[in-house]
Formats: sequence, structure tokens, C-alpha cells
Amino acid sequence: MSPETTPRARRNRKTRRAAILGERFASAAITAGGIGTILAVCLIFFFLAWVVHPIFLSPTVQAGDELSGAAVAEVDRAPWSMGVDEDRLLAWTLQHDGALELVDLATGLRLSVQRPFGDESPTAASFGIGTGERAAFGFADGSVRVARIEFLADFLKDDEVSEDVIGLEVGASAVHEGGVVGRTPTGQLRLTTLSVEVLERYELGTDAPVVDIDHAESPAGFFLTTLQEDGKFVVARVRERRNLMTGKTTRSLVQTVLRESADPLLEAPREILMDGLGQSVYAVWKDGRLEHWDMRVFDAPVLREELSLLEEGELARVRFVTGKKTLAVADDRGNLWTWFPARVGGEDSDPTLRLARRFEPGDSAVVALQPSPRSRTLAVSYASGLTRLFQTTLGDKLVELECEEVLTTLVIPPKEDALLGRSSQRLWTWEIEKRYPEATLTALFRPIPYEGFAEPEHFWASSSASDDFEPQLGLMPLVFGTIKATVYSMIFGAPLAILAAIYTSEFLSKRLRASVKSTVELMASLPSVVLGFIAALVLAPLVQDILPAFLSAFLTVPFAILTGAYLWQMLPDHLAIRWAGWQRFLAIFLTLPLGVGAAVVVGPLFESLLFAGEVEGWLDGRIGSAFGGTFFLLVPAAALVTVLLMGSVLGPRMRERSATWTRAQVARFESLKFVGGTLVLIAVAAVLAFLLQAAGFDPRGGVLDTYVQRNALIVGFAMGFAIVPIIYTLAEDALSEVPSQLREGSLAAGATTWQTAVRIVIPFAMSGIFSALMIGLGRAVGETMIVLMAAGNTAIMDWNVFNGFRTLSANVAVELPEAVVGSAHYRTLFVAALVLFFMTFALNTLAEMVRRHFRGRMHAL
Amino acid sequence: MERDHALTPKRSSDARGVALASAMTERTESRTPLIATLERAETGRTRPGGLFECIAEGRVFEPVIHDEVATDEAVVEVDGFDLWYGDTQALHDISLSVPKGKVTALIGPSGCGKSTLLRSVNRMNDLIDSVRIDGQIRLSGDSIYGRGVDVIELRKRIGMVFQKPNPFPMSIYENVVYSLRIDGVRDRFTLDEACESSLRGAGLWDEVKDRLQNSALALSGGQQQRLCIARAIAAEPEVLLLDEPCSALDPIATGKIEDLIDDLEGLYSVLIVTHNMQQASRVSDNTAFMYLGRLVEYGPTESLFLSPRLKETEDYVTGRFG
Repeated sequence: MSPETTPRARRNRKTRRAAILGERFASAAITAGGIGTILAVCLIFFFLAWVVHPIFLSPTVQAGDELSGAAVAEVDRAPWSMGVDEDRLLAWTLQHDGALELVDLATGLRLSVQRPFGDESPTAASFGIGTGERAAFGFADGSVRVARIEFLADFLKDDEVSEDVIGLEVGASAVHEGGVVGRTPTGQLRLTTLSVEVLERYELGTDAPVVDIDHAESPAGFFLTTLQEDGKFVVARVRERRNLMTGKTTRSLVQTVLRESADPLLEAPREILMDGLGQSVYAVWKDGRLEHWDMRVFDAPVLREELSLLEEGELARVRFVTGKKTLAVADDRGNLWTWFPARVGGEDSDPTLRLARRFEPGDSAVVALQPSPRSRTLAVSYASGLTRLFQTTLGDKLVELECEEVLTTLVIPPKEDALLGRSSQRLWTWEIEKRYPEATLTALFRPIPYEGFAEPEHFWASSSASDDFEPQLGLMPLVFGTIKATVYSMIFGAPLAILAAIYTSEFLSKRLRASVKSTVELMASLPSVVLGFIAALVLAPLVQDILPAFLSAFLTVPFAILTGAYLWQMLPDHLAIRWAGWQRFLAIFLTLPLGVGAAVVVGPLFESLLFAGEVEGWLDGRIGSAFGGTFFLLVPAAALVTVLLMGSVLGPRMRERSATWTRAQVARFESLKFVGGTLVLIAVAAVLAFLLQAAGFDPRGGVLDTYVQRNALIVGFAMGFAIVPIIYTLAEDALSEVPSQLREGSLAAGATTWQTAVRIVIPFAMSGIFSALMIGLGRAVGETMIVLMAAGNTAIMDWNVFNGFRTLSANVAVELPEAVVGSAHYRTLFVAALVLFFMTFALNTLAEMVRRHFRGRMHAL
Repeated sequence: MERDHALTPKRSSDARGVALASAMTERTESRTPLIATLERAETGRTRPGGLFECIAEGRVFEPVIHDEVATDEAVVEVDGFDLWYGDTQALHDISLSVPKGKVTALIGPSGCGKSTLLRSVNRMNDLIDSVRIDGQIRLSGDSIYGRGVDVIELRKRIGMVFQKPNPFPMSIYENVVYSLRIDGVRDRFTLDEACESSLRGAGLWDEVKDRLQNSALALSGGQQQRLCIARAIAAEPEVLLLDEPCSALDPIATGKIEDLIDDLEGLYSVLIVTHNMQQASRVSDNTAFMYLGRLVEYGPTESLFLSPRLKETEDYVTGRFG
């Protein structure tokens, strides 16, 4: 065609308005998207931080309203006890003479005085710590009476009450029918009244006056212990049975005498105490001496130990903190300690008391100790008027306040929002915001001497059915579990994924590569919950059933593949080259079932030879010697040593000699070398295992220990399966991106595909492979469903591959739905989320840094 | 070794190139242009000038092979070689022999199959899935495509340098001794010696001897390409394949490479693919002209450039076509 006939529009050299607008819109949208993503991540971080931040705030205290310090009936002796209802409307005080007075806290007026025991005055009393628990009283005639003093709440309808009550505003209260009516925030009228029931009466021991009493309500029964003036020291157990037909309760009482009479040379004990389970009884003397009676066999009490609680000085007060297991001991110099029984001598030893915490000493003698009914908070008042709140698990001082009078009786209301104290003539109130003293950084990340623990430990046990349990909020077991899950799944998944990526990118033909890659990527679409339940319900029981064969497979499968490779070398040249296609592929695939089959055959053999005939028993440490397991563990290391040894010793010598050999000769020699190497490796592993056993090494207790069905091995498998596709895809991309001229250059120089891969392709693709690994690692760290279902979720710190763990993510998933919003537990779970966030953030940052480092090296090409 | 080929007035390759170029310019004016040739072919007159038509239509013809090239001892012999990429035939019945100790250039327009032919010699085309071949190539008498040929062993006998410099991402030293490393040589002395002699052979020693452990990627393009040549000759190959070794380089680097190829002549048998006529004329002893997958004319460089037997060859070497 001639130039004239070519239709050629004159090019408009002005950019079209639509193009400009499109350009602006696109750049604005992209900028907005980018900033939005960063903002979203930041917002998540700030939200987590916002929920978490209150746990770092200190508790606050302020003086109560104008009624604080109001005068009440003057008493010469401190009352037996005080109680306050949860709305702080009413307070009862059981005076020393047996009078029970009820005070309206809103007005300070005394509403009523009653004498539940008539004219008698108790000579001893013990009160439960929690609300609604029974109290026990001892009397001068040696009798014991059980009573229940508690606040009852009842909702009233508007037509049941008088006009002035109907007009109550939210938060206000009025006296009504012997109690107090308050308007709740939801607008209901709630009537709070005090209920006092005197229940059973028991005769224990002699008719001498009871000088001290304690009781315990446990599932095993109602326990009482009394000390009488004549020295009789008895423990009684009441079993209550309720007849379902008649509704009648029958009680049976048995008792054990600890001391028949007082030792005339010795003083009587100052206090007797009984723990919450009725299993230990303590008698404490003025000089701090303590007798610990072990009552676990009720009929055969044992004097477990005698020890001194005090360093110097005299005993001022001793009381249980919530849970009635830990003793708070205070002396007349203001010192305060906690002690609890622990199995100090090991799992099988008997519990003995150990010093748990020493608290900040006060300036004068301790006057009163009062535990909170809800938490491990202990209120302490000193003779100087100083009053403090301590957190007993951590030993932290929460608040400190000064009162102009000595507070002889303290009470922490059920909501823990205040502290009430009574001096001889006044009632004082302080408003307290306690916040989250049990969730400090120390509690979250340091080992803590939790109640009953022989040593300070990291421990996670966040919630329990009962109020009086000690929350253990150590996050380290969860961090450990996360790391353990990640490590074991990476051990399984990473080599598999990387080798698969190398195989597909370097050894497979392009056509096969595409289909293999998309098949592996399909694995990623498998929901992790499905993987999780397959692992938990199918794989875990199966592996337990065939454990010997399963373990043997770790040795037989690689062995089978290597054997196949050496046999392949023995093929005549022309066959080996002609069959280099799908036939070789098939052969590789065939070695796998052969390896598995070999495992099934040799599994029982291994079991009887190495593991004393029963793997699980061996792992448990019940049977067999250390040799078998050590040998088993040493095989891979011994294989490595053998390969290196043979490479450096035989390699240079054989190079010269084999130069003239034919291919078949070399193949035969190599196969012989393989057989010899295998024998050498068995010998090396056996000798090493023998030496290690002689040196006292036993793998049990480390990475091998008691077999639990849902364990790290199972999770490693299942999660490995989940992270293989992601690592594989990214690594394969990285390998494929290596410039083909490098690969060609290496191949043209006469390198084999494997040499090219190892020397050229992998180093070049290292940044990509590394970030693939890191992203896989990030996935493993954050993975939830698989570990939730297959890991057993026990928060233990144990590298044992056959034991489970609990990860941060699974923990959040399990506990967040049932955590009380705003509680320390709830916020701790957010800390866990934040820790997880930081872990993945750190991993990704590290990955990016390393990736850049590697990429910078390769940039020039 | 026949260093002094009858038709190659040695010493200054530049002088030779200039002479050839001016000879070409002279004759350009005296010959009929290609279009005219084609028009003549359209009018039905059959004469050799219609050869391109003839090739495009797939008609069989005999390539013109000068007698001089047949007499030399061959290091690579291509014999009736066909190659297909899938269903597309890229090489048609190529037969030529590359003489030992000489530089042989393959020229031709883009897509004529010269690179394919070069890559067939060390079986680099095996890397492409869809490639199918027929015919035979022999390296010093050993069949390359025979059954039971170990490709790895074969490639160890042939060195190759690619269009774009492809130093490996490692030190200069490791690049040079790469072929020894993969053979498992660990003896330091052997490696050092091979490194130095190869770098000297590639004319790079003086430039890099003080920084052998530096990354090869820090070298300039021309240095990188000479490094690749050093790497190729470190393996002491029987034949050196150069696939447009200067196409990515500036004129100064190109000049250095060309000087190097001149120096290699006699020591190594070289097969070079080039787009640059002047380069072919400057560095090669023999030249083969290919078109659309067929060998058209093959003969000593001097005669191919100065007195080609075919009009089409002349048109191509003078730049009137292609």
C-alpha cells in the first residue's frame, strides 16, 4: 500500500480530560486504600492497647462520703465479725456479747439489734470468707452452734410498697420492712434484708468452754474443729444426707481427738485453723510455733510438721486468705507473711507448709486481717491506724490509707469497691477502685509462687467454677505453646514445602509444573477446622494405635527412597536415560508405599528391640533402658556424620581411582558404599547411644516423654499440612523468578540440575524462600483451629513431642467467649492477643529485613 | 593448527573489517536491489535470486558450501539436522561442519535459527519441553543426540557464552572455577591455577586480580562477559559456543571481546552467532549464512563477504536485506 492511501488520523497531542480524571481518581483511590490498610492495622493495635491499658493503672482510694467516721455504738471489745451486702446498703456487726446489730449505711442509723443465741454469748466464733457461707460458734458450755448470717435480696413490685419508696431514684435507697429498698439501674426495686438462721447444735468433747473454733465446708462434709479450755482439741466431720423422697436431711457426725487435754507445761494455742477442704488443721502458738495436722485420713490424723512462722516477735493475727488454703500470718511488729502447703519434696511427697510471700512491713503491730470474699486481696490494719490492701498472689501493696483511729474490724464488700473499718466507736468507709492487681506484668510474664506450688512457676489457669480460686495468668505457657506448635509444624512442613518447590521448579517439565502447583495450592483451600478435626479424631487415635510403625516410618521412608535411588543408578545407561520421564516419577512414588510397608513390618521389631516391647510404656519411663530411644534419636545425626565422614575420607581417594570406571562400576561401588554407610551409621548410633546411656543420659523427660493422644507430633503433621501450600507457592515463585540465563549458564557449564539448584538457583532465590518460610511461620503462629482441636489445650511448658500444649490463639478462641467483659481475665486475653500481634509483627518485620538483605545482594543482576 | 588461513590476511582484524566494509559499499551501487530481484521472481523467471521465495514456500534447495570449509578437520559436525518447536519447524536439514581450532560465525536475519542451531550443539534446547529433533550432530565424532548420551558429560566438553552476561551471584574467583567446583575439585592449588590461567585467557586477569573475592556482579558489562568467557574456558572445552556475545555491550567492550575471540582462535574451536556483519567479518574464519531455518551459504569469511556465490548472501552481507 502506498503512503497516501494509509488512513492516518492526526494524533491529538492534548491529553484527554477523561484520562486525566481517571489518572487522578486511580491515584487517589490507591492512596486511600494504602492509608486505609495501615490505619486498619493501627486501629486494631490501638483497640487492643486500649482494652489492655487499664491493667497498668494503679488502684485508687478515696475517703468515703460524709458518713465515714460516723459514730456507732461504742464497744470495748472488737466485734466477732462484720458483713456488708453487695450494694453497700446494710452492714451487720456481731458484737462480742452476741448482739447482732444492723446498720443502714446510707444514713448511719441502727435499724435493729437481735440476739440470735438468746442470752448466751459465744466464746469463740468462725466465719466463712465467701458470702452465704455458714458460721460456727462455740459456747461456754462446750457446745457448738452453726448459723447462717446472710443478706437476702428480693424484688418488689410498685404496688407492694409505700409512696415514698416508689419515688426512689436510681441509686437511692430507703428503709423498708426491716431492710433497705434500693432502685437498681434497670429501674427495679430491690429489697435487701438480713437473714439470720441458727442451725444445728453439736456437742463435741467436754463441757469446758470452747476457746477457739474453726470450720470448713467441703464436698467431703462439714468439718468443725474446737479447742476447749481444758485443752481438748477435736475435729468433727458432719455428713449431711438429704432424703430425696421426704426432703429430710439426716446428719451423721464423727470426730477425732487430736489432743485429749492440755499439756500443763505448755501454753494453750492462740488459734486453731482448718483449711477449706478439712484436710489440714493448724494450731498456732503465741510465739509463732505451728503444728500442722494432716487430716487426709480422717480417722488417723498425723502430726505432719512443727515449725515456727515468726522470726522474732509475737503472733498478732493469723487468718486464711480466700480459698482457705493460704495462711496470712502477722506479728506484733507489723510483719506479714503468707504460707501455704505444697509438695516441696516432689509429686509423691506429703504437703508441708512453705513460705510464699513476705509483704511490705507495717510500722506497728497488726490489728486485723480481713480477706476479700472475691479475690486474693487482703486488708490489713495496724496499731498506728495505717491500713493496707495487699494482693496475696503477687505480694503487691495495692493501696495504703491512714485512719486517725485503730481499725479493729475490717470488711471488704463483695464487689470490692470499698473498704469498711470499725474502730471502737466509729465506722469508716473508703471508696476503692481496685482495678486489676492480679494481672500485672510480673504476673503475666514471670514465674509466680502460686498457691500449692513448690516453686515459682509460669502457669495459666484463668478461671474456675468457684469464686475462691486463685487466677493464674502466666502467659508464658501459652507463648511457649505457640512456639512449640510453630517449631514442630515447621520441622515437618518447611523441608517438605521447600523441597517440593525445588522439585517442581527445577526438575519438573513446565506443563506438569503448572498442574502440580495448582494442585498443591488447592491444599490451602482446605479449611483448617477440617484439618483440625481430621487430626484430632482420625489421625490422633490412628497414630496411637500404630505408634511403633509410625515412628519407624521416619527411618524407613528415607531409607526406602535412598535405596530406590541407588538401585536406579544400577540400571544400564540406555534404560536409565530412556526412563528418565514418567517412569522415574513412578519409581519415586513407589518407594513411598514401600517405605511405609517396611515401617509396618519393622515397627513391632523396633518396638521389641529398642522399646522393651511397648513404646508407650517405654516413653512413660516405666520399662526399658534409655538405650533404645537414644539410638532412635541419634540415627539422623549419625547419618549426617557418616555422610560427611565418607565424603571427606573416601571421596578424594575414590575420585582418582574411579576416573576410569564405567558408569555401572561407579553405580555398583556407590551402592556398596550405601550399604556400608548404613552399617557404619547403625554402629555409630549404637556406640553413641551406649556411651550416652552409660553417662546417665535418658531422652525421656526431654523431647520424649509420656505419650498423650493429642500431641505436638499430630499438630505438627496437621499444621504442617496447612503451611505447606503457602510456603510451597511462595518458594516456588521465588525459584521460578531466578533469571533463566543463570540456570542455563550453570547447566551449560556441565552442572547437574541438582548442582544448579543448590549452587545457583537457591542462593539467588534465598530472599524469596526465606520470606516464604517466614510467612509460613506467621501462619503457624496465628493458626487457631488446628491447635485448638488437636493439641489437647493443656497449658504446660514441656518440649515433649508426645505431649500437647495450649497456644495463645487457641486460648483466646476458647476463653474469650466466656470471659466476663472488663474483667482481669478478659483484659489478659487481650494481652495474649497483643502478644500474638507482636510475635507475628516481629516475625514479619524480621522476614522483610532478611529478604531485603538477600535481595540487595542479588540486586545487581 | 592452521593459524594462517589462506584467505585471512592476519594481524589487524580492524583493517580487515574496514577493507571488507568499503568493498561492500562499492558493490552496493553496482548491483540490482532486492526488490527488483523479487519482482523478477514474481514474473515467473526462475533464477537463484528467487531463493528466499523458494525457502519461504518450503521448496527444497541445496545450500552452497564452499569447498575450502569441507577440507578442515571438523570438531562439530551437523548432519541433516531438523528441529521443531511443537509443530513449528525451526531448523530444516542443516548440514555443516565446524572446523577445529577456527572461528566459525553463524549469521542471518532474526529468527533464522542460528541461535537454535548453536543451542542444539550442547543440547540446551532440551530445557524446552516441546522441542523435537531429527538428524545428527557429532562432537569430535561422538554422537550428541544418540541414545545413552549423558547430557551432563556432553556439556562438560562444550563451553557456552550467552547473549547477556550471566555471571553467577558469587565471587569472581568462584565464578571462574565453577566448572571445577561442580566436578568436585577441592585442591586449592589446582583451582588457583585454573582461575588465573582462565582469567588471563579471557584478558581479565590484570583488571580483577586484586579483587578475586569480590562479587562478580560488581563488574562492568564487558568485564562480566569476559568473565563468562573465562568461566567457559576454565573447563577446557572442545568447542566454545558464543551466542551473540556482544549484543548487550557498548562498542569499547565489544572491541575487547572481539580481540579476545581473535586471541582464542587456534586455541579453541569457536562457534559464534552474531547479528553484526562487521563483527563476523572481523573475527571469523568461516561464516555460515542462514535464512528461515535453512543453511544458505557456508564458506570462508573472506569469500563469503567479498565474493558470495549467491546474490541473496550478498544482499544480506551488504545490508540490503535483513
